[in-house]
Amino acid sequence: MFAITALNKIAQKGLDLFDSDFSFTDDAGEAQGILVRSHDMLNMELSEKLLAIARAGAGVNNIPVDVCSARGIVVFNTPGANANAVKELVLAGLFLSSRDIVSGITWAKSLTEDIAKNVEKGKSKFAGNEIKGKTLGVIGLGAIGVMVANAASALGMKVAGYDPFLSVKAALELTNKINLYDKLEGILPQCDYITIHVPYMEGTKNMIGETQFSQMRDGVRLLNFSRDAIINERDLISAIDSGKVHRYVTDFPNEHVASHHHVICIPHLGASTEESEENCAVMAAEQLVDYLKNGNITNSVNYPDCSMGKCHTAGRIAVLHRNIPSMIGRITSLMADKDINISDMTNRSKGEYQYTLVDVDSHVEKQDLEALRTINGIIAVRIVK
Amino acid sequence: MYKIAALNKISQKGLDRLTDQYTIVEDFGIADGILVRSQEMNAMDLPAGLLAIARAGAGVNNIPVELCSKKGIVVFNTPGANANAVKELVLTGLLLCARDVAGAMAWTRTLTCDVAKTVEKHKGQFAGHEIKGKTLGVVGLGAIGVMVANAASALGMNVIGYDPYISIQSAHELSSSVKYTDSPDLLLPVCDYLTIHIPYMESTRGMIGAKQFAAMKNGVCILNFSRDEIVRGDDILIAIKSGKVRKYVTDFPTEAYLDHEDVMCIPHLGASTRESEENCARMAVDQLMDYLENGNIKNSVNYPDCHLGVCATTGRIAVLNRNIPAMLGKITGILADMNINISDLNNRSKGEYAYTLIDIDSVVDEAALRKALSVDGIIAVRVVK
Repeated sequence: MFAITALNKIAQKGLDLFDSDFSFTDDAGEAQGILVRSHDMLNMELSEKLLAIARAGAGVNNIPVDVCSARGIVVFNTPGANANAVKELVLAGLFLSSRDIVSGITWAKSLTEDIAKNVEKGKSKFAGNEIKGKTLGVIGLGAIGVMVANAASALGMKVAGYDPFLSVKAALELTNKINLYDKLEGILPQCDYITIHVPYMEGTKNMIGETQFSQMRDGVRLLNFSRDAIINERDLISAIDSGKVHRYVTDFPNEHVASHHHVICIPHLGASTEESEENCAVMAAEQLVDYLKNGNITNSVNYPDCSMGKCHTAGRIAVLHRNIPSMIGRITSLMADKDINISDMTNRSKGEYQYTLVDVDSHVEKQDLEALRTINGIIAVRIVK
Repeated sequence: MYKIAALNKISQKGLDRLTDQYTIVEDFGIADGILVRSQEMNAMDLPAGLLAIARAGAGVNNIPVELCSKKGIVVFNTPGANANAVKELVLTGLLLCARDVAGAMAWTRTLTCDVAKTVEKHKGQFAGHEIKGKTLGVVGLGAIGVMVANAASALGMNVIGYDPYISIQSAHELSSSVKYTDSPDLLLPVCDYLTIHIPYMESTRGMIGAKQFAAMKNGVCILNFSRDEIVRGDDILIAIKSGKVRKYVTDFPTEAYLDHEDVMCIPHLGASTRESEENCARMAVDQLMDYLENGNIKNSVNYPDCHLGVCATTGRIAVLNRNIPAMLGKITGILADMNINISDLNNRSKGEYAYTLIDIDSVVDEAALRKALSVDGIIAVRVVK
């Protein structure tokens, strides 16, 4: 029986996946698994019992990932689960930055008499342009960037993509109509629209600033559904004021942009759909269940993906350890010493950390593995079955 | 030299196509051809020498078409030229229907301090849905309907197209992932969204009313970028009140809809893009020139499409006549009597009217020809070359 705590409200479709092997508790100190959305965990005390945290969503800035790694707590997120929600909002952003429909709607509401006539008379100030045939630059081709690029291409835009770390998976999903560039300055000068889909990290902070603005076309429309800090705000505002940026569409309103005439501020709704919330909850729950029950890791941000399906042998042992030399040798020889026969074994690494799943032919007791825990570099050992 | 009067401002991209054979005149009374957009012409005195009216746009309700037909004035429009503009607005309508982005933007504009924090706290009220995986019904599969259906399908919607009069061209252009039906019974009960793209005529007036709403899913969203009168106003307000219709997006604001929270009134912006205006102007001017110079008809609303390309023989005669028996025999008989040899002839009919283009091997005197052809059923005769 595993105890689960949900620190935020989690969609029922996700909660339904926890079967009779699980129970829910409000006391996070008792939980082996935590489900979380935006709840800030950075200053939270993490209990000794905690095995995993599953974030229903993509960003993990509210989770102390380094502390978790060092303590053998696997942190999951749900990349891609909200990708379609973001994609559809980006498309809405593209359209709204082309035609001032929202102001048109507001204006229509203010009319009181002779509506049809007055509409015809005054509507021309809301005329705009089409996206078909225009060039869209997509910066960052992860799950969301690829979907945005493909959709824009299907709607008749020319799409230029930039991602120095493009994965094979993303490349396979990307339609071949999209031109790829290996330099940011390669795509900036040709775009009528630019949309940013890079993760926020030290290397992407302020990646769009004065130099980049100077390389863009006059009257470019810039969309940011990624993170506000990716764009240098001071440079952005002068680019908007100078007319270089005709419209800035952002999902991250703050005091500086909220009332700006040429800024379309959306109140952080990128992932705010029922479907996205359900997808995230289902994915987070599935991953947490699979880890607690089977020791399998999918979509962890601090430990490697590593799966051996369901255990069909007498037992399964999971070892979280540092990615340093001779770890596997030590683990396997210690098992040999205890006369434990290894049936199957998978070992994967991710940065400083590593994970080893071992299916064994005999039942293993906790004390059999005590010696393992004392080896330098071993972070945690769990008898899964 | 042909004299052209523009009753509305026509995009320069269109006017630029007029060669030095043309002059723009202010006085439409002396014009050979009129270019028009929305100018009301129904009460206007049509000049005696007027040969054609080209409407840069689709609807011709501002033109006295019947009268023009009788007087041998060919009325052109530009179907499809604004189709992409409408398509993109329909997609915007779908996305704004699924998520209240418009409301969210207006709300964000009111925030002045602690914006980021306030946004996170209250954004939940603007959470919505995705369109992916939902079912869209497209009523009417003309140029616009087909484009909307294909685009929605590319965005991951299940699309069902309904059009009992679908043309071969539309059927060919329709993506194979769009399901087709000619029965409303198979369409109405399954749609989450329904968008209307049929022409307005006596038989389509009030076509969507209480009976149709009763057959629909609860919570359906209706989009009308076609014509206000196609949807029965009283019935849809009742359907909204009962919750049957969750949202009505209309491009035709009226007194009845403006104050209604669940009606999104767009101030007739369907075709209001620079590209659409340019396309319409180019198309209208090209068609007008081809008719004046070559007698060819393309996209007329009152006379049939009929082409003989550029005249390669000595002369060309154009005859507008009623679609009644024995006309062609009379025309050719008279030409034979005048000792005029017919090189090529093209005769087409449309409803009550017909058009005959004749390439001849000799020069013909226009006055003599007119006199000879002044028989019952002949509306107008022109020596094109």
